[in-house]
Amino acid sequence: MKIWERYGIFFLFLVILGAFALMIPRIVSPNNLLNILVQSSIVSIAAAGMTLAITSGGFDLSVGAIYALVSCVLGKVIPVVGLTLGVFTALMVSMICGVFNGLIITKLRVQTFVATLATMIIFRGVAFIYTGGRDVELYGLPAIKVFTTGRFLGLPVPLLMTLIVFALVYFLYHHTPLGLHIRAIGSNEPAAVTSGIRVDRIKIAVFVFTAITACFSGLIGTAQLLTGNGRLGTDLALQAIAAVILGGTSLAGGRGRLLGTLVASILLATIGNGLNLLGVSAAYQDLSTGIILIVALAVEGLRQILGRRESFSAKAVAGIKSQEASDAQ
Amino acid sequence: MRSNESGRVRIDLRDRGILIALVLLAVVLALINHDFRKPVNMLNILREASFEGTAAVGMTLCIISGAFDLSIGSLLALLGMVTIGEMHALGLAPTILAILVLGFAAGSLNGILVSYLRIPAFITTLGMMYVYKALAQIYHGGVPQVATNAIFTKIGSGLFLGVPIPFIVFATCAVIGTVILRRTPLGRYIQAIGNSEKASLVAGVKLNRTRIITFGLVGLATAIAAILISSRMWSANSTMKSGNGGYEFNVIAAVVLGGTSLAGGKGSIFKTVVAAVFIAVLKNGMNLLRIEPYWQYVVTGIILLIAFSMNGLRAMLGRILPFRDTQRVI
Repeated sequence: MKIWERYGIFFLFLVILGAFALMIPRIVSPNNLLNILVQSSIVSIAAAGMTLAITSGGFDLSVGAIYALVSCVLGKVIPVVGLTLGVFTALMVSMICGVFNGLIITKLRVQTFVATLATMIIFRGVAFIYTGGRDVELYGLPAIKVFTTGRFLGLPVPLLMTLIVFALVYFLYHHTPLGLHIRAIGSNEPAAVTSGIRVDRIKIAVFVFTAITACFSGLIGTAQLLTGNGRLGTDLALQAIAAVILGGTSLAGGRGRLLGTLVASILLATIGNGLNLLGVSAAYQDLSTGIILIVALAVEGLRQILGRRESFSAKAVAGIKSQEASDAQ
Repeated sequence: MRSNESGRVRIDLRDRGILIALVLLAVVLALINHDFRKPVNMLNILREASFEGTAAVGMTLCIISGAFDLSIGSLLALLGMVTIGEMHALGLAPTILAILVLGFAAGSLNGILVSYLRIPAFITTLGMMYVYKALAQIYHGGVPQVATNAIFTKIGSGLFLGVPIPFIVFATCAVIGTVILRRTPLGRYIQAIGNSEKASLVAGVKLNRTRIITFGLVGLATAIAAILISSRMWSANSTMKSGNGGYEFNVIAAVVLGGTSLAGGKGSIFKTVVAAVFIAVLKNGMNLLRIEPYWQYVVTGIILLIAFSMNGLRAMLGRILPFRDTQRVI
């Protein structure tokens, strides 16, 4: 019975989408569905990186701070050097953040949770110092809007970015030695060390990767707001973690489900969109996120408990039968 | 501090690190800044340390048991709003009693979900974080609540026998927490679960009951902190204490700074208290030295990183320098 574990999130998504469609038919109009996908892109891209981090047995709490730092860098740099170089600079800054995280975790042996908790505070501080705590506005630079309203091959750019990121991560995860090593580290780190995997290098790569995904999310978010600020993205890390867990990735590490992560991010965006169309206050979106998180995982827990009881009784029945059979002989 | 065979006194830095750091920081600040030395300022530091420290006492128990609670930040906001919102109707004492019960119940609910439904604590408390956050926004439409009760507003800012009332509450909680941890079966069970859940199950520890009570105590400690903070601010709103990394992360950082391992099994409430005071001294010192608020983030983060990486740093230095073991001779 691995069906719930594997496909539960798809099922949940269809049920919730169906329920909303009964109440507000226009939620399933092609335009609105596209809208939902675009709205989910910020969280889902960050969640793609987070899936790798959690699969490797760690967390990255600093993605929200990197997101904020990227928005500030974009706001400050683009007016001076133009869009392309500005985006490149933001990418470099986020990679430096990722390397910093990775070095602290591997060389100083700090647990990922507390290490990224501390770097989260540092990155935000750097963003505030950089901008003097003020908003940096990009209203005069419509070029950056390509990351939110732009279209390429008929698809909205945020959706395209999401698809590219997930395709890349999927390839990385399933078809490269790096992906194999990430899973190996997540499921048993000492064994990975013993078998000659360069654990430090791979962990650093993972945290650079989460930082890059945070940067992509930051590009989209900044283009939507046209503002850079060190206060942005405070919820991003936990939202991404929620999406990853809902998608079926194991918190214990070693087993990631990328497709699940994508569907879970879209599910969370669907709830937001649906409640919005129903005219319900934003508070209920948080409420449903929390309840879905608990219910989805409770079903998983209950299934395990019930499954074990079944298997116990099944074993008992089998035992009695074999006893009877041997008695008959 | 303990003496070894050769009679030299050794200080295990891993054991006393945070206490030494606090003393050093306080001495340096006292030498270079005359405002820091003033008794009023000292009392102020103790008061500020209490607002995160009180919840950190509960969180220490939880982390020793091998779990942690991400929901306390939004629970704090919700309970703070309910405290002030219901005080007009219920009166002071019944409200406080009700909030304490509510806090314990909310915490126990986490424990029930973790133990009976087998949801990992991380996810349970992440989910409940969203639920409490939503409830705080829904309660009275999320309108910030303003305190009017004259006695209530004295709790956070008042002195009793010359000591800030929040610190008295904080210290009392810490003493009770230490007694629970060191002198009761519950405390032994908490440490046993943190060391090995399977082994303690085999040894007959009542896992579910211990988990539920531990999370209940986290909720109770959060409720006390909510009362102290909303009384200090004379108000409460749905996003209070959500800035600068969020209340739950600051509390967890204080506990880990005190040397309690996130892996569970060992830790000390006394050192959590020291760590909470250390953070308060650091903030106070940076303010008095007129360090810009944004630089304070960076300094705080770097000091946390240095503290968290003490073990790793020592191992790295050990490879470079000829230290004989992890202890240094003083």
